[in-house]
Amino acid sequence: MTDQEISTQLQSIKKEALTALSHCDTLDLLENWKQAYLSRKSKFNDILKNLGKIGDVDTKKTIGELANTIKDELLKTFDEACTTLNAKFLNEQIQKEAIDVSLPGISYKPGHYHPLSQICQNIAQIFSSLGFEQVFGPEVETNYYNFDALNIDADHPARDEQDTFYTSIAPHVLLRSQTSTVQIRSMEKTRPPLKIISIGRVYRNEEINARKYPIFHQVEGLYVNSKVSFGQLKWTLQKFINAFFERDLKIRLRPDFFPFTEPSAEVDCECPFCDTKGCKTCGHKGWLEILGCGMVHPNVLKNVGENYQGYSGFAFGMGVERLAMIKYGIYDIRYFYNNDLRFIGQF
Amino acid sequence: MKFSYDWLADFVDLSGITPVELAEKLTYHAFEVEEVSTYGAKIVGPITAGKIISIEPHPNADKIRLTRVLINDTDTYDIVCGASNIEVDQIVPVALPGSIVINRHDNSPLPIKKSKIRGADSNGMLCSASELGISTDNSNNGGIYILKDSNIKLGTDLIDLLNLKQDYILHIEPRSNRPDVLSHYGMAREIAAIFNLPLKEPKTNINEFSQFQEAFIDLDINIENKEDCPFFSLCGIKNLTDINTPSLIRHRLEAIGVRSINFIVDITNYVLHEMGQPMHAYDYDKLDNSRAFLVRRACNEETITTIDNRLRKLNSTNLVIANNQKAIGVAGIMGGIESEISNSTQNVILESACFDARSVRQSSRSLGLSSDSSLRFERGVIKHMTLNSLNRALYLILNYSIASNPNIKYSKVFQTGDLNEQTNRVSLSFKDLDNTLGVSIDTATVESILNKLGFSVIDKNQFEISVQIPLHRLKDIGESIDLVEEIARLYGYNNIPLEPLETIDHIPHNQNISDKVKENMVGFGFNEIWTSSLIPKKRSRNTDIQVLNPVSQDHEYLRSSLIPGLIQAFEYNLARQHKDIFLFENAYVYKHDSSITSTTLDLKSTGVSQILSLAALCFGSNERQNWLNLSQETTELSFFRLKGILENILVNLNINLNLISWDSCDNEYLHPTRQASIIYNDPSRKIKLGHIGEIHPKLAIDYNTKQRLSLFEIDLDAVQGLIFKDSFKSIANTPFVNRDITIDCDTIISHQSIKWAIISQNYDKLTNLELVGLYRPSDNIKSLTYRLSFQDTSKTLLAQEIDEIIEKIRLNLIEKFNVSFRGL
Repeated sequence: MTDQEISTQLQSIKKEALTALSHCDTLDLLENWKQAYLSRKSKFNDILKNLGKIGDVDTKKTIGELANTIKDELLKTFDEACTTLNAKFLNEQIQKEAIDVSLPGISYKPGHYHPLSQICQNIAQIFSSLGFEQVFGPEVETNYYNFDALNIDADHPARDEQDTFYTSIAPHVLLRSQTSTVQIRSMEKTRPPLKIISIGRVYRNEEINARKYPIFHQVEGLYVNSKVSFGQLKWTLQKFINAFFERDLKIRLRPDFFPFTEPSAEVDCECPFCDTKGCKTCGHKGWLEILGCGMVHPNVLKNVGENYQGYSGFAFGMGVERLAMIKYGIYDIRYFYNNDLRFIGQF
Repeated sequence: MKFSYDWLADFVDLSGITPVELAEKLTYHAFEVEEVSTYGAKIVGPITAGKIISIEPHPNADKIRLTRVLINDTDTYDIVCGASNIEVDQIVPVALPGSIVINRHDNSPLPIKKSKIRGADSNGMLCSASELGISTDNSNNGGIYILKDSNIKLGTDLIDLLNLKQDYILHIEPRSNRPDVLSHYGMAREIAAIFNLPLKEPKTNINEFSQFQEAFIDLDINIENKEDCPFFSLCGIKNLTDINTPSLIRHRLEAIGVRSINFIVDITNYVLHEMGQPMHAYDYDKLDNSRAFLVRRACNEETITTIDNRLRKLNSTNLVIANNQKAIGVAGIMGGIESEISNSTQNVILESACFDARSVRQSSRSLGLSSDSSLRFERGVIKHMTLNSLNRALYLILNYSIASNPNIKYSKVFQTGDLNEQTNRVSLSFKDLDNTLGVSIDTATVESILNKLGFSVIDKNQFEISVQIPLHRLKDIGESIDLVEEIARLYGYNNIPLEPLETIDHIPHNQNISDKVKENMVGFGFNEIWTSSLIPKKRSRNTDIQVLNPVSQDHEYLRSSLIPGLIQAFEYNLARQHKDIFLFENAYVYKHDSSITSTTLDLKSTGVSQILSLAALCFGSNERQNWLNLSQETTELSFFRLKGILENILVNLNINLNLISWDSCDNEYLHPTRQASIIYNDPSRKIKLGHIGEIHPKLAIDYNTKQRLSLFEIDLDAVQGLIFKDSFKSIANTPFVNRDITIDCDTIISHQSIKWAIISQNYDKLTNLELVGLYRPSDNIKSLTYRLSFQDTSKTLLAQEIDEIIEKIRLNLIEKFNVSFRGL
């Protein structure tokens, strides 16, 4: 064959290939086309194989270049065809798979924390940031920790007022009526300085109504160091109240009496719901009664032994249910213990 | 307790101090005033005493009449009146034009003006008791209030005489350590200190009436035990006539919620609320005229009918006053009905005594009876007030009686016991004061505060001050810290500046196991519940701790498991149309070590362990109802769904699940063939962590539903002890290979035993084993497909090496369980 013939043949193969390629509308056909025109067994390759037999170097070069150009062009066109076809198929798939994105998501029903848990965690977090370590104490207690060590002597009316539950175990074994028991237990275990809070369950023999339940929860705080003052107590409680209600609120203190603190005080804060104008939450008083507190009574420090001689401290206690009722506007304490999912689901 | 503003003003000048200001100062310096309410309506004068001088029929009406009323020597008023109880010469309250009384139909203010009623002039109004805001007198119910005292001068201003002023009532709950303020005089003393005002003493000087004293009686007092009754006094009064309680006394008693009964009883109640000293009065004519009074403990089987008309069985805890061998009153609590004062009582014995607080408390408890009187004795009366109060009662009786009763006589006071009390001194260091409060209070202020409160300074220097405790504060003041409190509250808690805590030197590590577990459970779609730790007997176990004085039978036992509470909450919600219920509780349970008896227990121990428990309940599905219908319930799903969640919880707590076994279990409330105890096994120990199961079908019948209910409970304290924090293991880059093997075996062979048989061999290239398929070709055969993962951290594993391990596994399982391997 002459150069001319060979080049004509190449051109005709090219033309044939391009025509064939334009008819390939599946990926399989494209693959077949590639086998037919560009593989080792293709006509095109057959021609190139024979190239070696051409003696004339120039001719060989010219034909070679031509063949490569055609091959490149075919490959390029093939790649383009592949891309186009893939794009087409992808587009078809996408159109076919259209969904109604407004249908509801498939999901699990979310669980909910009990509101008291959230309040407890919140309180623990705030005091943790003030350096108070969380500790726990037993609910089944003794007369000693619940009363005697807390400077509440056997004849003290507080023992009547609190109407404590006693157990079948022994005459001195009772259900604690206050978390202040943890003060004594912590001081017995740890040398000063001591900075703790304890959140836990307490029991009082009271008829159930919207405000009272025989079990409820208290937060107890205690700070003992070499020189602790009433001013520091006020500062700590001010910081807590601001953090708990997430805004700056004025506090005011009123004298009160607890056998284990002296001086003792009851702390009110401005009602965050009405700016002291008076509303349902604060009973139209403009102020909310939040907690009881005071300076640790010297007799309490004496009762825990010589490690605490020469130290002073402050203590405070508050009701978890009460705080939750204020924060969430819950008006009946029994909601906390009915465990109605319509209630828990709101928190 | 209620305090009358008007009454308090008898002892401290409250002019210029409004009731609200008083309440506020008291609240910030002494006692919280819970409420200030008004008593009585606002009556405006002129309301005067007038005499009816004529009554004529009304020309145009039947039910109303024309009266003419004389209100002083000369002036008369024509007034139309509709009441039927009026007669000529009666003295009645007359509201003149310009006055305001109360509309008896709706209690609204009723202004009085000149008017014409059916054509007749009416220049005022004759008033009934209710129109004047005083409680209805039994004698003229609904009619005009007839003034009985014929000595009233016409024209007398009745606003003052009948005490028609509006009063303000302060509601205060005095603290248990302050018995000295359980009276108007005592509270006034506190107010005087706060406002720095002088305190006025109540009138007790009976010498004013010395001409009425007569030795007509001789009484003999004996006290069996001076500890029960340190002081006892009596005084006789004779020739009493039936007089109305003066309106001031009655009005004030009613204002603080005490019902008016008769003159003598009202006086004793008045003195109780004024002086804080309980009093009693006996009708002497009903006492068999015995002159011997004995204060003694009651005998067993002795009885008395108290004035509330109840027969009470007494015992030796009850202290009684006996006369002529017979108990006539329970000391400090309530008198007997036999000697009760009536309107016809003529001769009276007044008693004022000091009974021991503890004795009265025990006596009151044993009878289940308390009174205004016992409340004060229990807290401790102020001893030196006993005689003062007797004199005060006598003074009031004589003062109100002599005008109408010149024959009244009183005896001398008969008394036994000692009124003297040891007073103590107490010192306070100024440095301690400043350190405790965090503010420096100058010594002059300290001294002035203590003086105002009745402490007299004995000694003072630049470092400290010593004072004598006033007699009425002996109950609550004894050491220097008590003085710190007194100074702090009068100085004002709110005047003490805030002082920041020193820099925080310790950052607490507060992440506890509860927080983590709750976060997980909520994440898995469970709702957290808080249940009562006191449960009814029917939900308790027989080893549970019993409460001796439960508030109700529903709260009688201390739970040893969280399951009863979960089931109760489940039932509550099921009854409220919830279809899928996922609940958990993380709280304490209580177990009593029964080997510890009350005799071996020391007074600081309880023998009770408090265990942190986690329990969960699932019923139905926690997936939302979906429109794809993806979920397929089988009866086993409930159990395995819950088990899966529990496994995840344990993994999240870093517990190695390969060391947990799920063994047979026999909880009676769980399905006998669908429950397991959860055991932690490592070579050194075996610890029971809890149990899991489906509820027993016999219990589930009540739920009337086809859905299954599964539960678990685990001991988190035990789990916490097993938490093992693994250090980081480097990641191998060699490929791992999965091989599935399928084993046919008898259905009684558990997955767990097969799994353990494989992993206990510790094949070092076997990194994981997972059950991926289970089916039952026949009733007694099951077919289990396991996916085994192999990896060598140092090189690519050869197929031959894996084959060798699988062959070992095969031989081992065949030997142990007689299984057959499919495809091998």
